[in-house]
Amino acid sequence: MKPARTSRGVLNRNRYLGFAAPSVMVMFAIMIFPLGYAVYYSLFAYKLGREPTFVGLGNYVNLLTDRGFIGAVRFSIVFTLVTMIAQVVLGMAIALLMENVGRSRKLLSILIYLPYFISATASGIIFRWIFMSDWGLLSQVLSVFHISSPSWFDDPNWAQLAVVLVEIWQNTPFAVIIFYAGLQAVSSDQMEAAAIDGAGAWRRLWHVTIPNLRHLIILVITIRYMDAFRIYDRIAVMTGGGPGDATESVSLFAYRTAFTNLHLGKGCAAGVLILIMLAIPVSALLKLMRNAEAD
Amino acid sequence: MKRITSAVAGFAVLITLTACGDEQPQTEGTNESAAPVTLHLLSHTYASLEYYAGQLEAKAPEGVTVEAEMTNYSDWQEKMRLNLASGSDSYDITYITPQDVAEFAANGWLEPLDDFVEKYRDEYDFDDIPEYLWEAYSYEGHIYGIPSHQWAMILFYRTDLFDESGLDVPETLGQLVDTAKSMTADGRSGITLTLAAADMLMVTYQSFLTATGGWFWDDAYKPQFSSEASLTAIDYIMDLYEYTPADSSTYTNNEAVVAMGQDLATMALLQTTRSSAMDDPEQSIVVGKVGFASAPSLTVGGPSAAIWNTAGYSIPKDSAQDKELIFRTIANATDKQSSAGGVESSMPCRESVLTEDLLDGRSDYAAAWKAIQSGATLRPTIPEFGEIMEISMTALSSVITGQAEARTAMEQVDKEVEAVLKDAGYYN
Amino acid sequence: MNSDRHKLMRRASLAGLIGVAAISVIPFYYVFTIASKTPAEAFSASFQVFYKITWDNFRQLWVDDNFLDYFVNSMIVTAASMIVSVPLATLAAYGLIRHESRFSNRLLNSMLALRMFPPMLLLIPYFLLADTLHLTDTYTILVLIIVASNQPFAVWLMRGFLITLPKELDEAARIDGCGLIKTVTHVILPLSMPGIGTAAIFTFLLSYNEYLFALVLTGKKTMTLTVAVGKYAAEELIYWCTNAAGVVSIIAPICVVMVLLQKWLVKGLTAGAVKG
Repeated sequence: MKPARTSRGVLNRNRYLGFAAPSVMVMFAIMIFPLGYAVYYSLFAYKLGREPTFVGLGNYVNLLTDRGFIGAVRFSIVFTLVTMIAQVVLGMAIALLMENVGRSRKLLSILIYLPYFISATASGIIFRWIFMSDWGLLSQVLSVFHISSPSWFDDPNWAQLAVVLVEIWQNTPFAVIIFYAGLQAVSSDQMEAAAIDGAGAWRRLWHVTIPNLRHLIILVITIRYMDAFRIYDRIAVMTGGGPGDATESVSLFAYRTAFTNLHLGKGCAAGVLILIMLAIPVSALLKLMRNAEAD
Repeated sequence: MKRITSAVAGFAVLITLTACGDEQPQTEGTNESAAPVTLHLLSHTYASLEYYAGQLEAKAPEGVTVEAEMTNYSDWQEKMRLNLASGSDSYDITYITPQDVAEFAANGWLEPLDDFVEKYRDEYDFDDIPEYLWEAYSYEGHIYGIPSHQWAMILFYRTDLFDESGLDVPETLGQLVDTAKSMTADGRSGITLTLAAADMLMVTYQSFLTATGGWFWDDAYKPQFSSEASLTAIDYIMDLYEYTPADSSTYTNNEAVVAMGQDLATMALLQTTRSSAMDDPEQSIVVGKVGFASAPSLTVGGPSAAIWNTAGYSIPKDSAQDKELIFRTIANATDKQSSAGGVESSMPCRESVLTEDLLDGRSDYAAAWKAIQSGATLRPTIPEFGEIMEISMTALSSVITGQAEARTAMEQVDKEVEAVLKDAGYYN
Repeated sequence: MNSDRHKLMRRASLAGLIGVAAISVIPFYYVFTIASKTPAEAFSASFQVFYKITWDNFRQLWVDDNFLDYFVNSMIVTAASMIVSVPLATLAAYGLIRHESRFSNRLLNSMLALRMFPPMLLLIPYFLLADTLHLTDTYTILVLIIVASNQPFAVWLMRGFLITLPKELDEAARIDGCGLIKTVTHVILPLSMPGIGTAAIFTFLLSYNEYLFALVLTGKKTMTLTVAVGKYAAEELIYWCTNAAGVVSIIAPICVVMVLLQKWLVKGLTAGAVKG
């Protein structure tokens, strides 16, 4: 819906762009150099302190045939999908429960949001202690009920489950906050109309509530997707990527390549590939959101 | 509304101005006699390093103040690398290990200290520090660091449990496995090892490799991870793994110290830097019950399953301060008096401090000294070793946790490591 | 009968929420016990629920290590980040919504690129930038980078709120004689206050917990709390307990801030979020 093309109209529109100028300038000024630097050096074989040698797409070819990189991508994709779906479903469920409760909501909600307030590193350390055999909290609690705790860190599958669980624990509140607010705005008229029409609680949920929250769901999915895919701190602290490389995410791989193996160029190339792997689905999700808003 | 907006804007401007105003020159003149000088230290931290940082601060020469910034190892490495690579003069003294000396010196980031060592040889009695230590801090014939302390892997064991059972402290690897097996009882493992990839696992792997007489590569730098010696070492580790606490594959020093100190393990293969924790009632419930011995060898009399390592201080080449002044500051903090004072928390480097008396009083240092003399090895100091460690230990971790078979995995490691060394020009 | 079902649903919901709250809180209880015990007690194979609290670890942080200095640094960086980031994002969101073109859409989308790149690979270029401009160990560079990293999310968040404000509002203000600036300050801003509160809270969390860039860009003068606590990440058993005390010390102010701002949070998202 474009405003009329009077000379005054065009002038006014550009002033709006002026409002965005400071933010955009800060963003791109701080963004362009680092991203440019990374993309530039991704085309070189570069060890910090030595002379870089141009290798063109060599790093990229290397990565796409690197077993470690492919394994990391596979793990990251599964990790992202599982945690994303869990956070959306749990977030919605908790938000709905909060709808049904009266005054106790205030205290309970702060407690429920707590996990989101600490850093990923902090949650990593805490849960490493919790999951540790023998003296960890979980193992001791389970032994009270005579259940033997699995070796969370020795077994690749349990280790993967552990990092997934902590991610869900820490970031579900993000979804809860957003969904709960969204629920406040679902028109009570629509809800009443549905109730009068005889729709039960489940029907109302499925046909009225969720469709109205469609684009918030997509927003949460988009943000969580980008963040879960790039996870680094918590896994580095909790499992170090182990056992073996069972929990090595793509960011962990990129970090090791760049800073432990000292292949800076290859690490930057991994970063660029990660960006591409995120840009494609995110653009699709954003398009979906715009379509949802247009309705 | 308007007032709030202008107040906010004003506040923002104020903050920015304050921030800009906070920029003061980091270092002052290089006039060593008159103007006061501040030297900035960046260091890793544990008990011994805290002690020596304190010594740097306390024994700085006239007119010199040392400001210490302590972090954990990986943050130290990250931050120091960035500063050195960009030629920044933010730090004048840095904590250093032989492995980091190799990487930094290879990039031309450290100040060579040969001339100063010569000049001050008598004043600080540098001959008191054995040759093998000076060599550890050298790269291509030049010295780049001053040693402060050292340590080695030794066997920790529960004197009370051994007395009870009547078993002897194991002297060979075979005996170690048998003892670990018989000592494994309800709620208590026979032994605890540090097996977290990559750094701690390398410490353990290299220790066993030392005992079986193997090495990472042969004289032509061809990788030997699938050699018989290496596979034997791995076999012993896997045999012992059976008798370690659950989750051992992720154990770092702290977890192993907890296992030993909480009566969850009978023996441990750990560094001397952790021995004092055993007798600290705030850290352990087995005070007075832990003894120390040299780690077992393959056969009686052979090299102990031990590595040794050391830490010291270096001078960044781009520091803007007078290098000789910095050298003297470091030398003061690592002289005989400081070394003697640091004995509590770590093994000294100076022979005059590492006396018979000391060894009599500290069985852990005695065990370590024995290991060092019998052939304990130092982690390789080639710049490529970080990558080699990553490749090999990730694979070994998979082997230990049953995700891969030892021989095939190590043969694959040999191939990959060979490619790394080839790229780095070792085969020309 | 309907009200009985209602009551049942309320009770069940309450029970469910209490369960969720318990799962959220128990790890915090655990880390507090580790922070207030000696290592021998904290990592014991027989966990003691009742024990004598030791304040040594907290004393180590707050007294011996001068944590107040680091706390002040964190507060300065966080406050500055919030003060700069939120207005910038609000104006940008408003401008881009009203500008309404494919260009502004493309701009909005491309902003997210920064959030798609592994942050640790940006360490070196950021450090080089800071070093070249002689801004290492200053608040300025850290605030700048935090603001820039936060803008994409903040702009998108404010966009979500402002997009529900109809254009008629602008026109009404215009008719009443307000210029563009006045429209913004007198009409738009007051209505988007709740959204601003939300963006402020997310900015607060982001900059307060910032570690990676704070590590390499700060030195002795500007070191933030998170970096100072990071010193205790590993190498001594005692450090584990000190680290736990650090985690508890760091989260305490957040809880206070959140309790105060919680009113805003709900109202904020409520007013702005969805189409009716």
